[in-house]
Amino acid sequence: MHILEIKNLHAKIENKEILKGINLTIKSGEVHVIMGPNGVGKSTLSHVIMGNPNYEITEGNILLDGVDITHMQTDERARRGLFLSFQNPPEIEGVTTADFLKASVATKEGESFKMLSFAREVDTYMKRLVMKKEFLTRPLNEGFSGGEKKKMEILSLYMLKPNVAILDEIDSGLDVDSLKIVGEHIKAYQEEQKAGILLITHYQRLLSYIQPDFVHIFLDGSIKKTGDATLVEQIEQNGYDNFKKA
Amino acid sequence: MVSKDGIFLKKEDQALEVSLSDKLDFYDIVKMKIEVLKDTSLQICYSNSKEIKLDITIVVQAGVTFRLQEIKTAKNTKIQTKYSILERAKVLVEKFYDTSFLRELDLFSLNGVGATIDVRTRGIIKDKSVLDRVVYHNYPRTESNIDNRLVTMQKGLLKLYVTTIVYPKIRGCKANQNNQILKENKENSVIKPILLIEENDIEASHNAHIASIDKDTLYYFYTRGIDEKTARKIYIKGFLKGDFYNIDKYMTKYWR
Repeated sequence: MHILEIKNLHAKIENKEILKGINLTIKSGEVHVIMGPNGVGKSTLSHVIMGNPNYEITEGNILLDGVDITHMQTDERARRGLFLSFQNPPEIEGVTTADFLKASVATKEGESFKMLSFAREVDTYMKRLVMKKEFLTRPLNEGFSGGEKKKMEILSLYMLKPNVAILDEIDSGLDVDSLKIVGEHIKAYQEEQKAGILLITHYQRLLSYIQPDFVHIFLDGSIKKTGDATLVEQIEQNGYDNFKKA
Repeated sequence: MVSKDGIFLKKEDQALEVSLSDKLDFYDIVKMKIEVLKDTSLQICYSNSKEIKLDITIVVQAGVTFRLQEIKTAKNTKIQTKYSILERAKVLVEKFYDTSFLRELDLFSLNGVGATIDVRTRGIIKDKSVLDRVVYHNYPRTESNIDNRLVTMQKGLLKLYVTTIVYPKIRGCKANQNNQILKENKENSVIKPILLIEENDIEASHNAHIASIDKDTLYYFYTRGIDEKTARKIYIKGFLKGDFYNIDKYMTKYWR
């Protein structure tokens, strides 16, 4: 059982407070969804959990499996089993997808890393994700379509096998077919690894492939309401206005 | 086999004619002339420990395709190379540096219709260095593609001058420059891309870019568990790779 605990988390960037007291607990096998309008701090939350140095934590704690990771470096958090998929992953000239994935997995596995096992595993997951082999020799994310970028993030998820995965707007920029593939694979990963998942999204459509256990309404830097999947229907019908009043 | 001062050339293929001067007493410069008669390739490795000053002339005959690869790991070199590239000859020069103090002047004269020069420079600069490339488009329909990608580290301060000259009535030329310096230190390196074009009928482009590794890009590496040192290493190797034959071999040998 793995557990990510966020306690009274406050964070700012350039003296502007973005997160104003977040409390959230994600356990193995749970799917949490954070929904909210643009600019309320949803992505900030994901980056603060991951330790993005652009943000300063002013109050509160983040614990992973009981260990305080609030001030830990990002790479160390990742090696402890946290994962963040990017809304817009950077394009990196000259660094191939294969080199990047290999470095990620080799760092995580250390001396137990075996090239042959790695190659077999990449091949298996790429077939699952309907990705062509040429993908591996292309520069990382360079010239990738929106769908290809998100598949790359899911491929990394499969390869790194994190205990808790934060997926920041993984559904943005996807066509219907790509959304189906990405949605089904998030579900498949969650079921296989019994991982905790934190989905950040604007839309209901991704949730037709993966059933959330908890839905959190995020407004003005804090969670205003937590409930089950029925909250999503309320948002679809009435927007966020009712929650703002609350 | 001709050999002198660590330079070895095969004579058997009859593709090259080489002549070497004695050292001049006053300036202490070695002069060398290479004439390329047939399609061939040549690799020159500079790994001397003492200071060297070289003045090289390379003449590539009409219609010949020539590939030159220079590997420089010498600590103190001053080299001037003059290329004369004749009609329809195609020359590719690949330069790989892992060195400290370096002074280098390359003069590329495109001396025949349809002559082409491609220069790809990759390397790590660890001390004050000056690289100067000048391309003369002396005939119509000539083409130059200069691609410099260098990393400055430690005390590395690079002054990179790239000048392309097209005279009036020299029509239908293509002149491209791509100059990039990746800073891994705080020294203020300089790129001066200069296009002196006195003819309208020409395709030309230039790019000059000096920057450090983007913090958000490094952060992306970190989110996958990759530490800063490894992330920088992977990024730099990717930056330097580009279209350079066998560069992995030299990267592995010199930058482990």
